[in-house]
Amino acid sequence: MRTHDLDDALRALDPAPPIAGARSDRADADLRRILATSRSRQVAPPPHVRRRPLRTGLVAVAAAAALVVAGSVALDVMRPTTASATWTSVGEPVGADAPGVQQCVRWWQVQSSQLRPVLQERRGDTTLVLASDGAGGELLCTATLVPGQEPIGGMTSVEDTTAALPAADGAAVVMVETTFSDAAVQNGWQAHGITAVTGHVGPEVTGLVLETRAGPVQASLSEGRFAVWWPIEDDSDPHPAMVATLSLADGTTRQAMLREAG
Amino acid sequence: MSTPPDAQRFTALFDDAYADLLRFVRRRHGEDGAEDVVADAFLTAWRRFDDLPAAPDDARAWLFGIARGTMANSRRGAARRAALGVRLAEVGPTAAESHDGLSALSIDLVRAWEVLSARDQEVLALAVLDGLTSAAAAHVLGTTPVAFRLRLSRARRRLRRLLEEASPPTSPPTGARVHGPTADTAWEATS
Repeated sequence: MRTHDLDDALRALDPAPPIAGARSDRADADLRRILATSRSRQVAPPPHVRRRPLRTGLVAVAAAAALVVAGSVALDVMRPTTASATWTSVGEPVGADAPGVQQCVRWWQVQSSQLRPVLQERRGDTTLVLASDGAGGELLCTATLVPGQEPIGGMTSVEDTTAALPAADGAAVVMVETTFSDAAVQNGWQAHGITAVTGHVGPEVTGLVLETRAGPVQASLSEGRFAVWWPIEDDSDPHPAMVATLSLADGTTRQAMLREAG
Repeated sequence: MSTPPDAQRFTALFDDAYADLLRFVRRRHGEDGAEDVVADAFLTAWRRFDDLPAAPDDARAWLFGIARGTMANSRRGAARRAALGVRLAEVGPTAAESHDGLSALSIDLVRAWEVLSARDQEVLALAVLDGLTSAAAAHVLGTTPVAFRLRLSRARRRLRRLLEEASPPTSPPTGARVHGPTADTAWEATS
């Protein structure tokens, strides 16, 4: 078969037929929204949330047993920030009145007013807030506040997190998100970004440290929840598997393998 | 702060490339959510508008590369490194029962395509379905035109081989004959 015959046969099987006509209403709305957006290379929170399937976001850390919960969905993606330079491996607890927390509250009120912060911490310029609506819906927000610059950050939310509850001495991961800031303009393979993990810890767990490419990273704990994030420099982070060290109330520690399900 | 000329240039790029970019995304991402991916890609392009190449072909390739990265970003872990596979249109049961040569070829081609690696699908789709030049396709993949042409010729060779296996010479479907090597397989000698 000659090359142009093969190419013609392939074109006849093109799954995307030609698009005729002027700019669609959807395209027109997208264009207006984009042109109204700051040209800053820093990533601002998305002006709307977009539903997408949560394919592998539910994981478990208890005794290497993975929990999988069907029917959950995530809203939008966590956007990476430029906060890596000031990142610390241990988060500093902050109050609900901290500027980063208030920034996150302002952002997510566009989506939901039912969310309540259950965990908030700061690593360098970036504040992380985990919020819950009390009905299984959760949202993870990061806000990076640098004097003289526009606040940047992003939000990720998950519905139906109730099945990820751990054993008393275990932990169960609800959400793992890895995203990149410049992958899109560098064809994907060399980029800076962040990985964020949230989940539940049992009542006997007093500490949780993850072994990551950024080194040991201590998660923040509050109200039976944990959250942690760390910067990643390229696309070779070892997820979905990594070691977690759990500190327990009796003074002992145990290790568990964190695995992404799916 | 953006200036009106930037907005005008971006709008021109948007109108010129939107339909082709949407088709590009639909081939790899499917229909569901394709417009979201395109919107994200244009938003990234707007934020990086200072980097927009001056030449129209280069600008289009730059935009396609952004969309490809946007789709890759939605993947997780090792899958993020993989090439973006491309689906062909489905061949209906009517065609499957037909003795028409073109229908038989389509059926064989779809079967062969499904066996083809995502990497081979991607280079073939960039050249044949997306209609990009080797230089533009290479830009999308972040490689050189020479390397892209090599990958393309190998992908074509593998697709032909799969078609041969789908259509044995002893009983070839009408119109689905597979001939011997063609000139572009000479690229194999460079490996």
